Amino acid sequence: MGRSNALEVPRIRLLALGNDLLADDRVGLEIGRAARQRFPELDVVLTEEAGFALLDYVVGVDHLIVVDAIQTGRAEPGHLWILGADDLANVRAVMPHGAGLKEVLELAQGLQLEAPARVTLLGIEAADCTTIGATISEAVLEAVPRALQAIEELIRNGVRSSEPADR
Amino acid sequence: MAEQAKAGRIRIDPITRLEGHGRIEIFLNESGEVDRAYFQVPELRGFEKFVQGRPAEEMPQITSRICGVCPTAHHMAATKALDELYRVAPPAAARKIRELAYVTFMVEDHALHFYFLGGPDFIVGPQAPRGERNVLGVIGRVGEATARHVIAMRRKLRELLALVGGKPAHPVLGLPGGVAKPLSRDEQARFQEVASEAIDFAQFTLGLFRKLVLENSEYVELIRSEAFTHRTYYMGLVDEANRLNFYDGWLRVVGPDGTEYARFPAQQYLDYIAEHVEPFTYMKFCYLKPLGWRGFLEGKESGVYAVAPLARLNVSDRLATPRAQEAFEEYFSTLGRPVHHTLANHWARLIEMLYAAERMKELADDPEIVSDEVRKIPDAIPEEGIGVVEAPRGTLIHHYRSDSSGIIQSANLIVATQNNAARISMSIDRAARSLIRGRDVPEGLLNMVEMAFRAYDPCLGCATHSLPGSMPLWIQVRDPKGTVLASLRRNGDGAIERA
Repeated sequence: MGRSNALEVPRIRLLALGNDLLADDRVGLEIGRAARQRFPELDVVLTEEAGFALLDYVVGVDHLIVVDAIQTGRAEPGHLWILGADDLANVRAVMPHGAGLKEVLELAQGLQLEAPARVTLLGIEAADCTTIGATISEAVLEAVPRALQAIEELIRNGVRSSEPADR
Repeated sequence: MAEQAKAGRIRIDPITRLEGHGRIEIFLNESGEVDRAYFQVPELRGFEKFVQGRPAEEMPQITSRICGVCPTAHHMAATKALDELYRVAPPAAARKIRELAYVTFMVEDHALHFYFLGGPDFIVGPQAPRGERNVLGVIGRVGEATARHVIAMRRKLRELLALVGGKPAHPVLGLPGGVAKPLSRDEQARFQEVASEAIDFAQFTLGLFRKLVLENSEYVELIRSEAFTHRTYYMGLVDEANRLNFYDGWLRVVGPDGTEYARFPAQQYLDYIAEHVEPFTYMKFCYLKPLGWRGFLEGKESGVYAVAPLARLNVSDRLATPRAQEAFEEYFSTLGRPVHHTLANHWARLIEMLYAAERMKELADDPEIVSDEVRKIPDAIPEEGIGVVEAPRGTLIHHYRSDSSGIIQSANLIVATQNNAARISMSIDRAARSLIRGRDVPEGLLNMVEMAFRAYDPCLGCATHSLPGSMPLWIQVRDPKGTVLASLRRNGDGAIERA
């Protein structure tokens, strides 16, 4: 994974987290799959992993966009939260797979492992992330186009994607 | 310090509907003293219903996807359950490849736990300022070179797992009666090389533990303190000579005095393990069935038992590899036997890591491991299968019944944290009793609780795979009727809120 090129075009990666087996928890993966279709040039990584396993996926880019289900209890299911890295510590909520993302990013920074300079979190308010095999709620699924719109805005200004992550 | 909560005030915050927190419920008795404290974790629902009607051979994939943190353990327990469901014994090479993959996973998981999950408690220290009790604090103490070494080791171990099993999150190694492919000689050489590095790394880490923890009398006192001690039963897998084994063997149970209470194949687990339900929590508490449920009590009469590293060393007469055996002897000669100190789990975990690394080398060196004969095709009519492994966090049992064409009719899982649930609650209870007077909830309780449960390393369901510092921890004090009297909550950033 190389450095930014001379034009300082930021490398962007969309890291889609979630679990296809767990009701609304699949929304991050749905967005990741849709983003692959819509933005073929974008580096998109989909994973059901959590914790330190995410380390490999957060390094080597300038701007990391993380998309995951989130439960704050402060908005209706399907609400799209757009947060920065500083919000990560203050999120009074459960981001099922992103829990621990803060430490993973700190670890990457602490060891100078090419941590992203910019992190954007797209959290989709979920209703149920613990029922195995349940279908995703309508309201949550409806957030997918809104999330794609947000991703488009984030990458709009002629930026190139990073090389694909090693997986 | 403690702040008096407003008497009788009940606050229903929208957040109370949410799961995914380490949540502690403390019930007071009529005289305002702690009656019972529970630790609650979110529970995944619907597993049994979801798998009914699916082909049994999907189970190693489905179950490994439920948990984003230790997919390899579920994959292996499920694969072993399928061996039995189809009544087929894998060839020797297949068995060895599975165990090789499994111990590789154990080295990785134990290393990450020690450095980055347990690290804030022991490497940085329980008295260190909150702002340093995190991953960066750990790097500061062990040095950047060591931290980089941990990351490099982890990467190599994961690459090995990918060689034999595909993506770590979706292992495709195990099949009923064997494994998907043989181990090539090149792959064997790579395992041998990394195994040798892993042994050095494990020894280095034990050395670090000695220096940082054992040479500090305050730490040793803390480990030995009554606050973190419970005299219970212990359970874990052992081989034919009662030596620790992560992949296979007999479940052995020792009593609070360290003598054998039971030794049985996993197939008999229902004769020995039962689950207790309490009215105020959906958690199920495993206990030893022949002894019965007598409450959250220590001692020989109580059926409460523990699993995971502390328990596994207590049930082992010795370890099967030389360097780990030395470390095992040092451990028991320092702490006595059996060890009842919850915080000793951290030390025990490192001894297990050394054993796993040595076992990895033994298996990788075994000429039979590159045999082409890695699968026995099942031809029996499937019916029922039970598989067991020692997950990093303790004994994991998968139990399936199918119809004659291999379609799942019922499934039951006993996961590590369920085995430990009663003892975890006892640790929470102990901390609560020592610190809570009426509605006062001192902040020190949060630290004690965190230290205790981090040693157990409970798996908190899919929704709470948080690392230190980010896990919201929430304590509620209730009167005997269940009314909330006070609540104390620490958010991901360490900010404390009271209600």
